[in-house]
Amino acid sequence: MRVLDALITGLAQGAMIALIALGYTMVYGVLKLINFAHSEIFMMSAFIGLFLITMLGGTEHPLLAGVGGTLMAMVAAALIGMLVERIAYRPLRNRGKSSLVRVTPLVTALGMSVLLQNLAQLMFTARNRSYPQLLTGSLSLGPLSVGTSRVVILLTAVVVMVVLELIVKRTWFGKAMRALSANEEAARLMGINTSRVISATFALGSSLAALGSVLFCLDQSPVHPSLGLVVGTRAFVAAVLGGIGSITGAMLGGLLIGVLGELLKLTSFSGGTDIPAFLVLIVVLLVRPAGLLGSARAEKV
Amino acid sequence: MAEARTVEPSPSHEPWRARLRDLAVVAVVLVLAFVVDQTLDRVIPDSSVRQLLMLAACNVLVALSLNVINGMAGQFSIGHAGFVAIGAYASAITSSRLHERFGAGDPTFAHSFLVVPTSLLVSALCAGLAGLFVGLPSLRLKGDYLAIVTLGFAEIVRLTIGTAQISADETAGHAWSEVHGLGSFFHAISVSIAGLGGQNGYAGPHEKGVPAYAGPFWILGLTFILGVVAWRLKFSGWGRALRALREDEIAAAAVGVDPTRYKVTSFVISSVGAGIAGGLIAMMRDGNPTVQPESYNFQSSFDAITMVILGGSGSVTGAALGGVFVTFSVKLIELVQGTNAVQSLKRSAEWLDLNALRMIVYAAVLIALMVLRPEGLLGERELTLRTIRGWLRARQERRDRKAEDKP
Repeated sequence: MRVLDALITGLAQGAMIALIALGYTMVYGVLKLINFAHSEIFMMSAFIGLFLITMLGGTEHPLLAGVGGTLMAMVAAALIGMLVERIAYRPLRNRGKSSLVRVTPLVTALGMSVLLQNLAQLMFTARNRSYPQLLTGSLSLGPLSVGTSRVVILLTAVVVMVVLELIVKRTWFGKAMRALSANEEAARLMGINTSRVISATFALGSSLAALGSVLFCLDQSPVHPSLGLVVGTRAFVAAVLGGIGSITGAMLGGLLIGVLGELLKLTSFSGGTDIPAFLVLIVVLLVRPAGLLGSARAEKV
Repeated sequence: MAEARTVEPSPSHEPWRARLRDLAVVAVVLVLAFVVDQTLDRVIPDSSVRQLLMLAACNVLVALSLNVINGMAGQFSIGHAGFVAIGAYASAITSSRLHERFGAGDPTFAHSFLVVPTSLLVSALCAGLAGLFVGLPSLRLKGDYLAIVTLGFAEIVRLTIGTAQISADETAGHAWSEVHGLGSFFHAISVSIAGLGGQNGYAGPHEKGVPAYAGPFWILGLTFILGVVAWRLKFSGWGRALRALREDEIAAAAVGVDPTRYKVTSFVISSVGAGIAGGLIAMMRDGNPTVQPESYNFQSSFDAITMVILGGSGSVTGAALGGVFVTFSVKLIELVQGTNAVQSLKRSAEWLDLNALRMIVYAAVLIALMVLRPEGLLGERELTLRTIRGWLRARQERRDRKAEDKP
């Protein structure tokens, strides 16, 4: 019974991690860049979500506040994501080949991450703020009772992932994104406005992170400026585990990391989720660097 | 390649004379460091200024070591503080144990010749092994895995040490004697880690503080020597191979530079340097008698990156300049934080966090630098007397030309 309970909690946890991991993996897919600022966008949107939900009435109108706040936070996060891309990444693109080309985007990504984190510290101070309890109560599913929040999270995540899969596989934008990921030069020659697609990818990834962050915080966590660093590392491990650049892989990786973390809580191991996640990362890099669902591509000279 | 020529050994017909000159330089540096060590207390009576001076030297070491992997090898490590932390803890443990053997009196200069090299050796070894553990899986691959793995590694070092707690009656020795199987093995490890003092920091086995053996002699002397080592490393065959690898991995591999081996070696060298710097910080005279996990957070890793990038990735003198600059600016912020005006301002505006503001400024400067001048202040150039003279001459010539044009 405890195992089953942990499994469900882990799946809910993992679904949220997966939502964040998707942002990493999509940006990596189109730009081959680790977007360090992604975890800070996650943190920022948790704050924005908190303020919006409180503004919209909080516990008095849980449905309106929850849904409205989340949607608006997603829009805000998309704007922040596009802004970050505009400031920190776009000016560096098409710089030509030099040794600096590879490292400079990483530096700006890291700089953006530090900037956003400390901006949050200045604006919101370092103290913890807790979310209003919108999702209380529990549902009984046969013999075990599951918290409503878990069910809502799991359902939302599944719906979002299906929608995302449809966007990527069935729409023009998804096709353009995949083309860009395969070969940027060729995609541009085929008339794809690469800048716009990259911008849209950032917007999509950031809004998914916002959804994940609001769900995450509604479920359990208080918001504080260093939230991004903690959760972001976990999400990145999930993305690598699934195979970075692969969207289904990120979902799978997130779920696995979440379940692993919850199952470990049942044992006497007390090192938290981060040490095992880190060890998983090392093992994956050693054994199967392309990840579970990724495909290794040899580089041509 | 003007700077490369300056360090090529001059084609001397009498090599023993050049060797003698090198020995003389080393002797002069040692004597100088000794004199500084003995007189610094009188020359600079303010202990916080002395501390700042030595901290700057240690930070120069941090920057120099990070420069090997971030500048010369062109990889991106963002968890340098993790290795510094490992070095600091290793040295703190070794030196305080040795100190007890010596009867735990005042740290004497004579004893420091045994304690400091031993502790630093342990630090270098521990940090180097950690570097191998982190570098081997992540540098084998293409892509920027090193960045995220080092980030995770540094956080884990900090969190593991900071959050480990045990009940009061347990000791590491007891836990290790009861190891049967995996569970109790992990338990013994966590008890040992908890012995490092958790959030309060490590202050020797009896909480008396880490003995301050590393005076200016050790810190300034080692900074100078390791600076020379870093310089020679850059212009050695090994350093050139590394830079070739950075410019074009495939081409370098084609001419026989094994990418994985060079990258991993440079990362291990970088972590060894970080370990030595951490060890010196832990044993620093006038410094903090405890080693705390929070001094090695993400922010200090970012500071190290700022040092390297501001000065110019790949430049030894640039990294040294960056180290000094960042140390002084951090100190300046601390001083400003303490002034009455800021204190009263803070009472009225609670949100005012000068350190966060400093980080924002640093981050913004880094982003702007990457957009406008990605090579940093010096680029890969070195600041030597010859280059400075060259700049001055060029400036003079320009001025002369202008003067000629005018009439």
